This record gives sequence, C-alpha cells and structure tokens, in this order.
Amino acid sequence: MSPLLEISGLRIATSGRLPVVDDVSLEIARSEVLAVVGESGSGKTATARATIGLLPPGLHVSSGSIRFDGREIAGLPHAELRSLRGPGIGMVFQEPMTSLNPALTIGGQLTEALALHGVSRAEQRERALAMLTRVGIQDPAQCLGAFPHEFSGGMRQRIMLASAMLLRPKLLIADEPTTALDTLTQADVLDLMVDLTREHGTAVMLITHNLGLVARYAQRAVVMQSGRVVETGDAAALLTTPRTLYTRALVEAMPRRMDARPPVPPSPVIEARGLTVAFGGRRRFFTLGRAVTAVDQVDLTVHQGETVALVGGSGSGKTTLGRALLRLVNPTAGEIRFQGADITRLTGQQLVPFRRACQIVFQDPFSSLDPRLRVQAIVAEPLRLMPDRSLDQVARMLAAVGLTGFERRFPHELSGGQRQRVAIARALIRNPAFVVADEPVSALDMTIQKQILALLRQLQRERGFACLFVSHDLAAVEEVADRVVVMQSGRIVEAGLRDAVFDRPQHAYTQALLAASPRLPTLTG
Amino acid sequence: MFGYALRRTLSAIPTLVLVAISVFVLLRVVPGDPALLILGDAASAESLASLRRSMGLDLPLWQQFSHWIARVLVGDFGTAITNGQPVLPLIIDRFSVTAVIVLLSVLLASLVAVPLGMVAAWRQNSATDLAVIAGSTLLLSVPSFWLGLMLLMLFGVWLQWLPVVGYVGFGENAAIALTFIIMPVVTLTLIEIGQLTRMARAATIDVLRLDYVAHARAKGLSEGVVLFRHVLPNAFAPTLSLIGVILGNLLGGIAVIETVFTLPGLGRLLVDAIFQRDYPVVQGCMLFIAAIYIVVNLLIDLAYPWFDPRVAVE
Repeated sequence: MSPLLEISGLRIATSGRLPVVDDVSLEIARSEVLAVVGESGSGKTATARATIGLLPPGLHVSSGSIRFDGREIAGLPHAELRSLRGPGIGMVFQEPMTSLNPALTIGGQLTEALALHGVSRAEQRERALAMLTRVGIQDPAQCLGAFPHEFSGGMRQRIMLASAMLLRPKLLIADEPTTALDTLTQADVLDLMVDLTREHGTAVMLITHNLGLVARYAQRAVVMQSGRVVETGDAAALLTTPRTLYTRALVEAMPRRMDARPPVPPSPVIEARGLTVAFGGRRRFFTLGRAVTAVDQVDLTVHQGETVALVGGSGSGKTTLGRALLRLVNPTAGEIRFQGADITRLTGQQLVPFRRACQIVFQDPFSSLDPRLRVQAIVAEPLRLMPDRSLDQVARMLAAVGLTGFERRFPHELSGGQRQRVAIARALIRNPAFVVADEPVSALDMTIQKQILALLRQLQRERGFACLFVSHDLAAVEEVADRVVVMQSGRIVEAGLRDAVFDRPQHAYTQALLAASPRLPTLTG
Repeated sequence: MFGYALRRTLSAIPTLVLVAISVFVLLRVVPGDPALLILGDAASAESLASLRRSMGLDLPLWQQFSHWIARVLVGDFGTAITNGQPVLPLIIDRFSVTAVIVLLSVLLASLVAVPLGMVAAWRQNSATDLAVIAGSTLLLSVPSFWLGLMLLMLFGVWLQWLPVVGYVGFGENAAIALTFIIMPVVTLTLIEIGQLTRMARAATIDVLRLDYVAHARAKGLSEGVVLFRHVLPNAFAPTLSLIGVILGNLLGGIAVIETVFTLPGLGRLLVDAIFQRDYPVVQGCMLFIAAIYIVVNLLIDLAYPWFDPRVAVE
C-alpha cells in the first residue's frame, strides 16, 4: 500500500529566494508515528506547515511534491486545500497559552469544524463531550461553556488534542506539542496522544528537538539539519547506532550523568530555615485578596563549590524559593543566613553587600538582556558600583565564557546560546559567592544546552561559587547536580545526594517525575 | 457586575473632589475680574464693589468654595454671571449638541475603520494595505478646521447643498437639524477614521500572528470565518480602549469644529466662559467633563470582558 504522506524533493524558500528547506524527502505510513528531529533553524516546522498548507507569510514551496493519500497537494488551490484540513490533516501546536482563542468558549471552538462538515448540533455536542471525557477533562459539560484561560497549560493541550482528533484526521501533525509543559504533564499528554491516535488509526508527524521523546514514542525518525534530511531510519536504531556525525552529536548532547564529584567540605554559603513565602492576602481597595502560600516552611542549605538542583513541576514553588533566597521576593516567615549573617530583615542600603555577592541567571536569554546595550556594557554593568572597574576584567570574563571578540555586539546579533553565555558572564564577573540559575538551559537546543551546562560546571570548578540550579528538566539536573531537592506544592518532599535520589527515589512524587523523564538507551558502536 | 459598577462609581468621588478643588483654585489664580468685565472700564469703584458683593466674590476663598460645593451637592450649579441662566440646564443643553455629533462620528468612524484596518492587516504589505496606510496617515495629518472649511466651501458656498452658518435643534425640526450636522459629523468622522484604522490594523496584525489563528485554519475553516469569528473579537478589544479615550476627549467639547460650523456645543460654551471669567460656568463645565470621562471609562471597562473574557469584572 502506498504511504499516507509522501514528501519528495521539497524545497521551501523565502521571498528573497533563500532556501529554508532544501530537497527534503520523507514518508509516513498509515497509523505510523514518525518523529522529525532537529534543532532550531533545521526546517522541521516549515516542512510540517507546508504539509498542511499553512506556511507563514514570506515562505513558499518553490519545488517538490507532497502527496497525501494518493493525491498531490503541493500547489493545490486554497479551497481544495482547506477541505483537506481537519478530517484529512489535523495539527496540534506548541504553545498552549496562545493556540486556543481566548474570546471563544471551548465548546464553540470544538464544534465549529464539525458544524462545517454538516454534523447536527446534538451530535456535535455529544461527540465533543465524548472526546473531552476521553482526553481526561473532569467535567466535560461544564468545560464546553468555559473559556481557555480557566485551564492550565497541560489541560489546554488536552483540549487542543481533542479539537484536532474530533475530526478523526488521517494524519496528525504535532509541532513540539509538549515543549512548554513540565516533565510530568509532558509524559501524560504524549501518552494520551499516542493512545488516542492509535485508537483512531491516525498517523502522527511528531516534530521535536528532544531525542528522549523519539525513543519513547516514535517508530521511525527523520533527523534534519539546516533544511536538509541527514538521516532516516528506525527510531531505536538511530539513537543507539547513529550513522551520521550530526545524529551522533545530537545523541551525545543528551544530558547524561557525570561521575559524582567528591563531596565538598561543609561550608554553608546560604541557609534557609523555615522559609515561607505567601502572596496576596493584603487588603486592597474594597476587597480582600486571598493568600497563596508558594513556599511553605522550607529548610535548605547550599555549600561553597556545590550545585544543588531544585526540582519540581510548574507551580511547585521552586522559582519563588530561588528568588526568596536572593531577597528578590520578601519572605513571610523564617530565616535566611548568608555566610553566617542573618539577612532576612535587611532593607535598602543594608542589602547592598549581599546583593553584590549573589547573582541570578534567568531562563529566557531573549528578555533578560537590555537590547540597547552592547555585550561589553552588559557584562561591565555589575562593576559600576566597584572602584576597580576595568575593561581588562570584562575581556577576561568574556574569554572565560568563550565570547572573545563579541564585545561590540548587541544582544539581537547573538544566538540564544551566546546570549545565555553573556548572562552567565554578567552574573559571574564579580565573583559571587552564590548563584541562582533559574532554568538556564530550558530555552536552548540540545547541543547548546550541553555546552552551557559544561561551561557552568567548569566555571564553578574554577571559582568555587555555590549554585542553586532550578529546573523541571531532570536530564539536565542529572548532569550537573551534586545534591537534589524535590519540591511539590511549596514543600520539600525529598532531598539527598544526586545518585541516591535518582537511583533510589523514596517519595512517590520523585518516582513519578523520574518515570516521566525521557531517557536514552546507551550509545553503542 | 452591578456591584462592580457601584464600586467604580463610588471610587470616582475622590477624583471629582480633586477636580472641583483644582478648577476652583486655578480659576482664581488666573488674573481677571468678572465684575470689571461685566461693567466695563468706565465703572466706578463703588458699583464694582457692590457687584462683587452681590456675586459673593468679596468673601474669603474657602467660603466661596464651600458655598459653591454645598449647592453643587444638591444639584444647583449656580447661575451664569454673564447672562443669569442656570448653569446645569445650560451645560446639558449645549452638551446634547456636542454629544449627537461626537457619538455619530465615532460610531461611523468605528464602522469604517475596524473592517478597513482588518482587511489591510489581512493583506499586509499588499497594494491595498499601502493604500489604507497612506489614506489613514493623510487623514491623521489634516487639521480638522481646514477639512471643515474645505467642506463648507464645497457644499455650502459653491454647491449650496447645505447651510453654512447656524444651528437648528432636533426638537424644532429634525430634517433641517440634520442638514446642519452633516458636515461637522463628516469632518470628525474622517479625522477619527485615520486614528482608528491604524489601531485596528496594528491590533489585527498582532492577532493574525498567534497560533489560534493557524489552529482555526488547520481545522479547515474558511478565511471569512477565521477573520470574523477568531480575529475580529480579539483585534477589537485594544481598539475599544482607544475608542473610549477618543470618546472621553471629544465629548468634553470639540471647540474647533464647533467654532468652524458655528454650533452651540459644550466646547464653545467652555471657551467663551473662560474668556469672560464666568466662574460658575467654567467650574460646572469642568466637573461635568470629568464626570463624562469617568462614565465613558466605566462603560468601556464593563464592555471589555465581552470581547476578552480573560478580563473579569468583579
């Protein structure tokens, strides 16, 4: 039988004739899950969008063929292409916060495409309810009348999946469907997607940058680099015995456990005792806000020269705890000691020495650097308050993060990885005693993640700062952490040495997190 | 929702009090004496003093203020110094002229500008888009008095289709009244189309980029449904905020247009009163305008959740 989707010699170009996708060929059999793997700029999303005829303005298919269900669809007139969308090809998008219309009810969005295909109102409702129940929505009838903002990211992705699968498409394109979700939710949604498509006999094109997902969910995989296919094959074989250098580099970039470092002599840099942070509850004009306890009675110590990973799902309070330790968020109760001194109640000028000795690296390298400052000025900025500021020092710091020669660039002239290096240089230039790294690699490609993690490790070895590594990504944590602290609903549920926590997790929540975390089989050959 | 409206209205009281105090003080700081303006330079010192006494202008400032505010609280805004008319009915009478023109213009401008801006955004960078941008920029840059004068010249003087000077209320003769407001409404509509089109275009461009539009298309919906059902409500919400600002601004008086077309509107009443140091009228107008701002903003805020359910009214 002919494949369901057969793309051959596909070229996609910008209006300026620059190729974005160059001579791509791939096929998907009926009911098969094909993973398309690649880093940003590899052309994987453009290929997927071309398949459903939804290329963004400025991109067009310049040559090649896309055959779907035995029919050529590249260059098909708009109206015919439209009749194919929905029942032929469905799509699930990456960003749960923007892929449902905020102004329409869930019910309205689920049923509108069914109405288009002449399904009666009663049957529309019945099918929507059945599908919502199937994707695990608690109260489907109530959900139909609700708006998207009333649901969490994971719930919205389930609703999205329901919306696409309601039309029983032959092919589902899932473009990084879980990248914006935390580890536990990610596994739930992907398991659901694979089960649901199997029930309906729907084939899946799973676009991802995460090789861990490939091993777990796809039968075959296509690896793309700079607009070209570099390798195609059985998913498991591709990961264990990659044939090309690029695939091998991708597989090797997957975080894996380094040998445990010798334990550091206990010399606490920062200590929290009974730390509690509550939001809200303040009397406002005519109303009384309700208090939410984000961090609840937490004890935590980070010693000199060690990395403590703070792990948990979204809403676990890990980011708030990181910021409270830096006094960026004020604690409601408890005590924070920095190098032995109580800093819990310091204010204004008293905080300055503490501020100088602590730093933070943020998650999003696109919004954490001032777009109007050059790299040199950004890195030099923390020195402004110091008498011995010097360009020498900036040059040495930039050399340490591998950015010599980038002094005069603006942030928009840098890649994501380079920006994160600038952020690290800015954080470390004053030799801080304590650094909070808040999801520092979550926004980066795998190969770049590996470089940044290695850089952090090396700089820590040289400079000996204490590091709190906040992350939902257990794979990255396994690579860098000396100790691991697991948070759930504002409380610490498990803490211990890395190997102990990863190999013998005690708490049910830790076990669930580890089970949901994608791992790779060992590389051979 | 009713509770919210009530709370918002109550919280407007401090604003109104501040407006009342600052208008009152500012007016007294401006040089100029109503008694002198009424009686003229030739008046004797005694007659000036007696007129001031009868108007209460000889009392200390705080007494003048407390007398005024005490009467305002029971709905009495006093009488105009210049012609002795009660101020509140005068303001309401003049406001009705301004309100008819402004509401009609903003409604017409929105009906034209929102679809125009959406189509331009949908066809971004095309010739249509370029034409819409050029047109709206031109309308934005034209001064309203010049546009008004050109219309007067064309339709009033050369073609003689419409009356050039004067005003007839809708209560007297609706058909004739209509002929007097056509040109001011057209002038104001054209000017506002420029602003609103640009806003609607920018808002639509932002919305068209979002995944839910691609999601709607991926479901196989037609472009018409995508635009009307998915893009319009989301793109209209920011435009609605701008409409609120424009309404508040214009309802407070369109003095230039009222002057060009000799309309007895709120703007001209205020400007004339300022020149004549007619304290009760100026104070009344300013309080009234502040109240209009508050009411318009409240109505816009109440309407907003209808277009963007993420904004809860509570």
